[in-house]
Amino acid sequence: MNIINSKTIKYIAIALAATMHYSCIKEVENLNLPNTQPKLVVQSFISPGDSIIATVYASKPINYNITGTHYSTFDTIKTATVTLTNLTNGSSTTIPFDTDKKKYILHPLDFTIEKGIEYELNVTANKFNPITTRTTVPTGLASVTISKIDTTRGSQFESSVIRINGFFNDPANEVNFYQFSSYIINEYFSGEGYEIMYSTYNSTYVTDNNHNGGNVVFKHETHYWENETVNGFNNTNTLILYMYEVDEHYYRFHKSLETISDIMDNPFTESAHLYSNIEGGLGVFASFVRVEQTSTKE
Amino acid sequence: MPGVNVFIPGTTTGTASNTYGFYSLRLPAGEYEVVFSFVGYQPRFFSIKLDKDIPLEVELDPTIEIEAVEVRAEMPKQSSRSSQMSVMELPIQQMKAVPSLLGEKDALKVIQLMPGVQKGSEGTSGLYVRGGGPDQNLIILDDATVYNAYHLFGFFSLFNGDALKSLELTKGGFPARYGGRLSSVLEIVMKDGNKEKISGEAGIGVISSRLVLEGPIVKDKASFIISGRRTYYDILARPFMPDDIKLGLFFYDLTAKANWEINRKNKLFLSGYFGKDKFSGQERETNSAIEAGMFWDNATSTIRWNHIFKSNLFSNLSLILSNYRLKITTKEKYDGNTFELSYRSGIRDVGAKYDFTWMPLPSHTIRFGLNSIWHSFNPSAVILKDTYTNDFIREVNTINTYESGIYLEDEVKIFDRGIINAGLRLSHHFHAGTSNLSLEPRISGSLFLTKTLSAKASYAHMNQHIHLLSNTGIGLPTDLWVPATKFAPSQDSRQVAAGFVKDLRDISTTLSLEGYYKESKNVIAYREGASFLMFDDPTGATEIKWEDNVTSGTSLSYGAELLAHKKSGRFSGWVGYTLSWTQHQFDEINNGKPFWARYDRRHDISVVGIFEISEGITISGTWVYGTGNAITLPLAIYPIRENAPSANNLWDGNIQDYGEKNGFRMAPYHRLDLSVQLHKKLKSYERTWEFGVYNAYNRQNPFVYFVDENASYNQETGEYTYTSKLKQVSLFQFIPSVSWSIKF
Repeated sequence: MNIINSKTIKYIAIALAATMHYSCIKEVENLNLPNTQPKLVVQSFISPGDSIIATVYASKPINYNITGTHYSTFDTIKTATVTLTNLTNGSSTTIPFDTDKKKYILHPLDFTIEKGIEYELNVTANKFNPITTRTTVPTGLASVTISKIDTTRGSQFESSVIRINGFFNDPANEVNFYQFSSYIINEYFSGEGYEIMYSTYNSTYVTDNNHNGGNVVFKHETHYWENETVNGFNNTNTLILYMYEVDEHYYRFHKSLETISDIMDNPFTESAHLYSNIEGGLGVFASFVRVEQTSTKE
Repeated sequence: MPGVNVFIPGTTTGTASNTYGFYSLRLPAGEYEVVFSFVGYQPRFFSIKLDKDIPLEVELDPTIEIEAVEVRAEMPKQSSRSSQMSVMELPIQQMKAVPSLLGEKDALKVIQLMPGVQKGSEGTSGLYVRGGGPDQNLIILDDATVYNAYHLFGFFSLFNGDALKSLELTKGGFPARYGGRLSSVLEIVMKDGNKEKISGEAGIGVISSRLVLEGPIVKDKASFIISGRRTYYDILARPFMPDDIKLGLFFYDLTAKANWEINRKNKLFLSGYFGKDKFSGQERETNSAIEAGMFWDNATSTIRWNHIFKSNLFSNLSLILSNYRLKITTKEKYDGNTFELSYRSGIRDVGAKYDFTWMPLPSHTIRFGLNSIWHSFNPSAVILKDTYTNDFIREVNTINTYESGIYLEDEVKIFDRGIINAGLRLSHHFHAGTSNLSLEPRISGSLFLTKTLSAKASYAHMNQHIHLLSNTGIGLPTDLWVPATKFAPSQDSRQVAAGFVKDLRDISTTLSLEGYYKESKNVIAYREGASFLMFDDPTGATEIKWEDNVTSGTSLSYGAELLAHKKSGRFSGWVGYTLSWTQHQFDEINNGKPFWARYDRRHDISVVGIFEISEGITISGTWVYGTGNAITLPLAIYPIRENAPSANNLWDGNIQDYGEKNGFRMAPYHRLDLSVQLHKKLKSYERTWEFGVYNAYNRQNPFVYFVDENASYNQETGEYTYTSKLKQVSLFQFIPSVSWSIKF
């Protein structure tokens, strides 16, 4: 719950409106409004043993007062050249475009991603400035301990809450970032049989800032609906936990995304920018290493 | 009264009274004529035979005579002869004649018309002085610090002009007796009360009414003054409100002061201020009711003892209380059960200061003293009551700190060539077992180029052990006062200034040209996405460290100011121009790149004119111009997705790409205000009608910009097309006002 709930905001907004009943709204005219060019939007998260996937889009400028198409639809740039380079041994590969999935995808056997190695991603596309960005894959030396899983059951009208406490055993003498994620597995009948769908996904991000070499504690919380059956969904009550060691770009990107989704249109907060390590473009190139994956039933 | 000129006509000998009205003038034995004068008051002349120390207490009466007072001699204490620079004294009578929004005379709004002082948003009273934010101004009312000096979301200030005696703003060259803030000291002194007879003023305006009553408690020995103001804005706004909602919108002020002259050497003063703002709404239905709102209040009180040890040694001892509280609350009743959740924050000060003024020689005025404040901060206090679940939670976060300072300054007249004020202040701050000491050197001086022209320069090192977290979202008074800590250290600034001051032959006019350069470090701002109000679990509210939501950086501001100020006469007023730059740099904001401050205003012009057409008619006008505020606009939209293996319910959507922080300028701001005052002296009172208009040519100045997206459907193609329009909200259009006041 927020102290500023909808009712409080409503009354304060009405009071402000009363104060400002002298006000008026009009279009801004005769100003040097920005006329922005599209930028490349590149997003790729690499990890040892996983397929290498990159998406390439073009941002849509908000050209004020000019009629345009809907912003919510973005077409993938299919003709970009996406090159990945291992900066230690100099090996390089071009990632091909998959027309079915509309992404640039490379099988893990075609190019190895190794722990502790720095990789560079280059993307060029017609009519755009080329971008170059780098990430260093985490060493993956951390381990994780889950000390407690608590479930607080909700009623017919409230969700149940699962609280997980634990810590990452943090290697010394390096800066580390971690992600702890959980899923509740649902299954549904698609007409051809039962299929699994992951739902109720939550992530917690922590860093070893000021705890170098010690235990980096996390407290994670997720929730689910008991006995949920909606449109053929059944809750199988299986909890899957993923624990990753991530690089700084991964951490900062997801933390800033978390902040943006928390604040949305709340006027009481500072505006937030989404982190990007794409110089001259937008998006993120980052890496992670799976520390542990486990599942548990009720 | 502070700042009263005391001089011997035909000589350059003279002095000025200090903040508490004390003066001392050393002369060889002989016969003299001594003149006491102050802008807006009748001068007094005394013939004295000086053969021993003579105590001379003088009272000045305010004047509304339209004929200029004949000046029989030049006045040696002119701005050009003062050691201080970057100081603005505003005659209260002049302040009351300046046109104002809805006829509400507002000391802080008039200060905003001075060069070097910017306002924030349209209609608000916040002061941005030489690039510093509103938290960097020390606002003192009778020695007590006022933490939130604003009513009605900043549209009006606390200070009822009827009860004020003097108002002085120092923007630079701070003498060592001032400390605790980086950018300015606004010293406001309340009237003492009429010791002769009961008198007062009353006024009725568009949104508020006020009353001042003063008079003797014991004739010629003790007096009182009480001043109150209350708005009836809630009644005026009612027609605009939905029927099922009852709003509580009001503010009130109450100031009171009593003084007692025990004997010639001892005086006691007791003063206090109490004010409150309330913004709330109520909705009632059959089985339920809800009330929510925001409230804030200020209270200050001061006990002062003035003592004269001997003719050239004076002291003032003040005991001070100051309290500011903010409360945001929601209360719901349903079927006999009550749920109440409130958030409170505030700051309370208990302090003392002891100041001495010593004039051992005619060329030296030595000031020394110490002050001590115990601060109690409540950055957050959450109270939850739920009779349905029988929950009662009270989580209060309290931080206590201690701040003190000791200073010594000497103002030295260097023959007739110049004057220098040099001083040193040692400031101390204690928090959580850690003490910080800081030495703050101060120096300012004038070199007399002619009798009326001087070159001035100053240097000041200032520290500030208190921060104000101000959310820039929509500018509500959710300002949070927090102490300097290990993670948000004390702010520090160093400012140099230099310039020229010329007093014209009509010596009530002063021309000044100043340049300044100020570097500040450890200024704080909210991190991106941060707010003190966002927490999911009230029981965990006290675990939220406000330091985790803020980041420290630096600020650089520089510029030049030009002022031509005529303080008295049938025609009076001023013209001020400021050319300035203010940049911030925070490692965690704008990717660490420097950016313009929101209130960085390249050009700022103010023209104020007051003309007494006749004994009964005064017209006045104000024209202001300022470069637009710096804001951040979204420039593009793009898709993103969070990383997760084969999952649904991920964050998958569009994000706005913002350009450089504050990289875009709003449209310039300009506005003309006019007013006419009709005075009439009747048998036992004087009444004044004032008719005014704010924004006379209806300029639609932007208050905030927003992006308005619209869709239109093309029936032929079956497609939607979307446009993004940049729109502005303009707050105050052409607003007439009328007010009626009497003086008895």
